[in-house]
Amino acid sequence: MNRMPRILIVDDEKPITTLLAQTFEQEGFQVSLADNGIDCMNRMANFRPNVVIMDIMMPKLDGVDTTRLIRRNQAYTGTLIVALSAKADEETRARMKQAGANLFMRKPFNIAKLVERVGKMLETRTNAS
Amino acid sequence: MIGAIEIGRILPLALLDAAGPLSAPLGLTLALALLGGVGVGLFGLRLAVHRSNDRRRLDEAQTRQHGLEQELQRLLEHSRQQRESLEDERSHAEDLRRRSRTLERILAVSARMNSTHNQAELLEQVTAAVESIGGFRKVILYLWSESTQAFEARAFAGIPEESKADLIGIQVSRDEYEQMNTSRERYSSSFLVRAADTAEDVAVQLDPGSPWDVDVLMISPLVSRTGDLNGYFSLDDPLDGHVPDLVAIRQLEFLVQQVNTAVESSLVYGRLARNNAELSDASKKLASLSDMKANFVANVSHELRTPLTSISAYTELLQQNMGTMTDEARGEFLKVINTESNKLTAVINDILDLNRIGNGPPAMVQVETDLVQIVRHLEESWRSRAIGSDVRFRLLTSAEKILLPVDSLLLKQLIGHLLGNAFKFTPTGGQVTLSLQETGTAVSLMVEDTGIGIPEDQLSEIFNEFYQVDGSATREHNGQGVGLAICQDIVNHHDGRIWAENLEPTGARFTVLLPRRPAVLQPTESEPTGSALAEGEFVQRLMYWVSESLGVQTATLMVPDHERDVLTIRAAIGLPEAVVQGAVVARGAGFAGQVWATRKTLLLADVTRDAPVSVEVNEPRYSTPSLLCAPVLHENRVIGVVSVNNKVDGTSLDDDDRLFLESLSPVIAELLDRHHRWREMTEDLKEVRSSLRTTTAVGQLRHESLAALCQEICLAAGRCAGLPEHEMVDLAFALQFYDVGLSAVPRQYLNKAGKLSDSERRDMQRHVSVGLDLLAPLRPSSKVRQLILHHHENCDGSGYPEGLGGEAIPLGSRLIRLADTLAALLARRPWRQAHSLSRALQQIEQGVGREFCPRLTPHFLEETRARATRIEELQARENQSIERVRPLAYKPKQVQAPV
Repeated sequence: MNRMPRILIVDDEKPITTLLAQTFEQEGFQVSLADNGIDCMNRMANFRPNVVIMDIMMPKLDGVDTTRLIRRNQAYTGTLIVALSAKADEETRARMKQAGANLFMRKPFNIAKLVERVGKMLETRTNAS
Repeated sequence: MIGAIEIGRILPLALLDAAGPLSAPLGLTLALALLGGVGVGLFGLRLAVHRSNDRRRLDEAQTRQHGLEQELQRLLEHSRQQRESLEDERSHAEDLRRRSRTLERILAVSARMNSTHNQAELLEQVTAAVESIGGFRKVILYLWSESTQAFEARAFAGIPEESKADLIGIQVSRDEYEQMNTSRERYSSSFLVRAADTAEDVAVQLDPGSPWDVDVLMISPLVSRTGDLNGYFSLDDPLDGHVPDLVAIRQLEFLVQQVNTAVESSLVYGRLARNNAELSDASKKLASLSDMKANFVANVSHELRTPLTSISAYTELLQQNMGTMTDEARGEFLKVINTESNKLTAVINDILDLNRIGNGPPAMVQVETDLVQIVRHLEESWRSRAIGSDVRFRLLTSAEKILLPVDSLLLKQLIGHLLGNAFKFTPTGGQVTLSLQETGTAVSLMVEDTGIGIPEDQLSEIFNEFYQVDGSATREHNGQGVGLAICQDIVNHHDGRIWAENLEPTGARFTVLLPRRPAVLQPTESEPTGSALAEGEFVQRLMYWVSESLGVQTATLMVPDHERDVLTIRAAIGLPEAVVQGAVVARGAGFAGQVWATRKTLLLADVTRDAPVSVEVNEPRYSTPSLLCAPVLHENRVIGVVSVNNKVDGTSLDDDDRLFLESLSPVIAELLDRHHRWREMTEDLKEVRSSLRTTTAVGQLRHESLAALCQEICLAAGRCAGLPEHEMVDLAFALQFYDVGLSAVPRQYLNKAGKLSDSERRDMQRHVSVGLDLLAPLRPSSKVRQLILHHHENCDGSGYPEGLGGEAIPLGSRLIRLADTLAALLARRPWRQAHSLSRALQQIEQGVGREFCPRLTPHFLEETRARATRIEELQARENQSIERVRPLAYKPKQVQAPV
């Protein structure tokens, strides 16, 4: 990977975004933050992230609808979406999967594992293309 | 030749005889052919006689010919008659065919009616059928309405639209119907009357086949199986313009009977449908409750996981990077962990509080507490929060002290939640106001903010335990799902009310109203548990109502204690408990004592000055000096003394208030008396109620009758025989329903005079199991099922369905067998008159040891004899009503005799 991968972190919990931002920066990612779905959609076009970390319960536009909107746009078919939520019942998982998320992780989560899974997925994708 | 003639003479007759009326055409043809043969034979005979010139033989032959011609005439006459009777037969057969076609149509219509459960639709069908089959152009169906206690026009055929509107409003009372029913122009159960708006003194005459009189109506009643009059058809304008004959009327009545069945079953169906709808409502409610519960679980788990996520993530990083992190960074991390831990604790506390209040009886300690002190205390602790978030915080209260029995811990929590909420939604620069006020009967507590307000459509739902304004995944603010539910619970436990409203231009107001309770309730005797409104509660509400009506803060009801000759306080609004407990007023002493003695109302403008007797008036309760005190009289006895003072608006009590209280006093007396009597009745009814836990449509269809009396006898006999209470309850239940299966038995079996055939009897016996099937939805206990199942078993084992005998038959079943038999014997049947009581008893006595249990029968007979007078009265009344509603049979004399 010759260029830094871009990651957009979407969550309304400040401590979480701060922490994830720090972690992924250390891992060599270019990081951008959004605290709700609308904000996320606004940043997509300019930032063109490779990965979106998506919370579900957020003000204004929730994670499921945001994911659906992203997937509707042809330009973002290659974007990885990782759902991260405290709301982790079967129904929510199913809805998120149907909306187009590539991975679902339940909060609270293990940061090391999240970083590892995101890295692995990016690798697979790069190799494939 | 002669032989041939003889044969020719005899054979046709013989053939005619043998052919019989049905094959008459064939017989006639044969006879005519043979007669032709005879004619030819006669001609030949005459020629022979001429040739022989034998005079004697000619005479003889002529005589014979003459005889034969006469015979021929007779035969021709006979054949003509045969042809005529054949014509008759044919038209009769045609008539029969027509009638059977009509019957088929009636049956087809009634099948259609029975499959229609929409009543309006059914009624339209019914009237249309009566019009087309009954042969009347104008048909109106009147049905009995329980709510208006009158017959109302419910369906029409052949009536112009504009007349319908007039007819719909018409109500015919039972008396008016009975008036019509006195008409003597009857066909079986139908009769002719003159239309209401024509001269009444012109009698109606009925002559089948005569032209129909335009003023005349025919009435055909709908009589139920139990003899109730459900309604009637009013018929006019026959198709052929003539008074119909008996056959047509019989057909019409048959149709009407089908209609009756259909209408009755549609009523039952309607009731079932309503029950069903209620059930499905209830199940919907349950479903939505469980939805809310699921939502709650999801919300709570989210509330818990969110801070937990931060805590775990920050801890993980701290652990990994322990060595490399700066002290500053570590401090930041620990601060986040600490904040999130506090959040977590708050959520958990909220949930625990909810559980504490939501489960079981509240462990509340309600003591007289000064609310002003509580809010002042809270104001101090919230002041710093207000300064911290740059929000103005005000406390408004005019009172120095407001005493109310409350759980002060819960109340603090309530105000805390409301304030917390207000601060959370109020932006910087806004304002939060807490105000506490006192009215005559309640204390109001308000929290106002200038925040974002509450979506209008959700105002009523925010107090719901499982509700969160933003139930979706999209949320603006965390942690408001549980708090308001807790507030609601706290307010409920204080019997208060809480509601929310939005303010203009922005903000929300939460209002809590806590009722001022009477200081004490003194039940005079032990309260009956489980009754709808206990005595104390009732009197409390009564005084509450008095204080509300007069706008006073204090209202007291004192009642005389005749043993000690003093008044004690029964219920009081707005008095401290200590005052109430100690208050004892002797007759003639104090204000109340004086009122008790003089039975006159006392109105004092200023107790300190006008006191006619020396009274301690330095008590805090007299915040205004005027006092009003009135006696409560019942049947000329003083049963209480009501005193009121401290008007809410601070004014003095005046003459208007006196008049008002005096006018209330008889109402209070009436209410107290009525409540007292109601309580006595409640006790009596309790037993009955418990035995009739389930009353259903089936049970309600019965009416006060011999059958009911037989049930009463049955229960009394059971009690005499020493059946334990729980078995009595089962017996009472079984008695209500044991014969519902009869509804499935064809009526002709029930009304059949002679013995039933084997297959009919098997059908008949099925009613026991059919009944149990019908009862299944009521979930009768297995005991009750047993009682019903065996109520046709005989003591000698010859009964059904299992052929049990002797002691193997449940006691209750044996009693029901007796009651059922007695009811049947005393009732009139289509094939016989009712048995007299003595004959019925005799029959039962004869059956002892065969059908009936030798041990129980004596009890039963004894109880029956004890009610002999009532039985005979009822029998007489039932016979009378049957005669009136339904004449026994068609009486042609009555029809033809002019009035």
